[in-house]
Amino acid sequence: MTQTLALGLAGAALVPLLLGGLPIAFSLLAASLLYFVLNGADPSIVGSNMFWFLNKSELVAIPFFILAADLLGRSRATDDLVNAADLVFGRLAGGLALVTMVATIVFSAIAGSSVATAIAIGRVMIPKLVEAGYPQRFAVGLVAAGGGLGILVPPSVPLIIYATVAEISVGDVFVAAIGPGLMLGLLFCVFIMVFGGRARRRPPRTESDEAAGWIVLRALPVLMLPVIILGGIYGGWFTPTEAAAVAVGYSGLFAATLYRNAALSSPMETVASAGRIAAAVLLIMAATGVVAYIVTENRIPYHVSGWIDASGLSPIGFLLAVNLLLIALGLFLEIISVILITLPIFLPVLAGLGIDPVHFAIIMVINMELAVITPPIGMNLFVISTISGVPIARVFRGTLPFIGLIAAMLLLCTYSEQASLWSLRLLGNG
Amino acid sequence: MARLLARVETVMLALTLALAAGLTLLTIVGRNFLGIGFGGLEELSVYLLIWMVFAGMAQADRLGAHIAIDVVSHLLPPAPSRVLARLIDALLGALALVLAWVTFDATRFSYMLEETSVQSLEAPIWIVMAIMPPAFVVVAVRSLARAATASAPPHRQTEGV
Repeated sequence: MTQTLALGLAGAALVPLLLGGLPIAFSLLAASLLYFVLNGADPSIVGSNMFWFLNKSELVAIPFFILAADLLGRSRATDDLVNAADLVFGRLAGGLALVTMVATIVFSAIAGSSVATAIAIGRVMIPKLVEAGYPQRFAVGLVAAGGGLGILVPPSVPLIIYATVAEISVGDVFVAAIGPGLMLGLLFCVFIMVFGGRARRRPPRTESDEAAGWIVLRALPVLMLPVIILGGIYGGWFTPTEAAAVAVGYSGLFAATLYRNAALSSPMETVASAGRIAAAVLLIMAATGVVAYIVTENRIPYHVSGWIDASGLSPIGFLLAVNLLLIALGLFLEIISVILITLPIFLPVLAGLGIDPVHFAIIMVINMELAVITPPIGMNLFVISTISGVPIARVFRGTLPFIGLIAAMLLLCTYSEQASLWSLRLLGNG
Repeated sequence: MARLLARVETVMLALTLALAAGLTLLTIVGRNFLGIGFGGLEELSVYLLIWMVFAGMAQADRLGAHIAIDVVSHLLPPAPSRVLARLIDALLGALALVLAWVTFDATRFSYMLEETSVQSLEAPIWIVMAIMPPAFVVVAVRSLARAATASAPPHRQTEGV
């Protein structure tokens, strides 16, 4: 059997396996095994490839960031963060909705995950927003879309995965993502201030200066964490993986003391839960490592590059086409899978077209922000629906204005490398 | 037996992750405050991560926490959806058995080659790889048992990144 036919048959087998509900990692491994068997190759390549893909120190950061977010998200840290944001922003136009978005941006700088951000903020803020007179659809849509910032604002697990596969600096990708992350957060805030003021008017603050000072002081540990993580990485104190371990130690320390964390009543279950989530993600990564081997062996990136050269597609044309493809894939696949399946094909093409892989990382992750809030596989829609009891369709309708804003940001970052990389260039590494 | 195995998975998962975090923190403290480099600890953290992934894989299967696309099963009426779930479990069980065999083969090959890490520990690689075959066997046994007994398919949880 020819190699191309084996590849075609393995690819054809993958579709029904995925759609039938076999876990994504096992679907990819099944298709890979089929390819090796049809090709007469030794299938034990699957085992060794999985091992060598996982044997990377950068990947250790993934379970650490998930655990740190879990420790803080299930504690009073979120309430303290919201109280501090309310103190500063609560009486501006947009009121509590603006407070929600500011708290989301700050929590995104801790969590590394859109789901963790949406759960932590949504649990506290959705009931408060509804109670304050905001339409339920707006409240759930705001938190679901805002939670998406968790994967753009560093630290971000998808950005770590991207940097690991692309073999570029995690620190550079993190710093580059600060700019677009803040721009998108600001865009959300402006939208809320202009269109989100339909709730009941809130009475003026009555806290004394001393009480206000205590509110800020209580939130200070959680506000300091993003500074420690990014400052530590860029100050040369520690690597991104070590920063993730620092986040675990820091979150654990404050969860056990100041924030009296419910998660610490069963510490083994809490740590195991974070490990389980990370394991599910890392197993898909290991499986796509095998797929990447097959893709490379068949010189698929070379053929795609040749096709792009022959079609005369410009870099912008290529990026727009990639956006359409990623949006389509994001509708049906979980975001980590989209990144891992497509990146080995795109990376060699980027070099040929002169596209900066850090710029491409930003474009890819903004696309994934759309993916987490679009059905049928929108993780943030699921979690917000679960914690609020609002049907998924209504949560999705609530996210529609924010989808428009994310799409506008995506177009801006696609057309303008400067918009994607200004924070990296500002710090002298772009 | 099933309960003991579940407990072993949880303990292994929590222990490997907590140890990896502790060793990484120790590296930072050693380098920045004591002027000591613990070269082998970073490598050890990666090996703990690999053990965590495969212990987590077995637990995620037990709790239905693997990421899957379940659009079709949601669109089907309950009876065909249950049949599909049994088929998927049977397929997963068979596939996991094959994966147990190929990962055993890869581990055996690494042992025969006396493959060691190129970093400071120079650890025999087969020891780290040895977690893979038993983890796949556990998944295979559980999935085949689910398929055979028509026990309810595990609820797919909304865990994700």
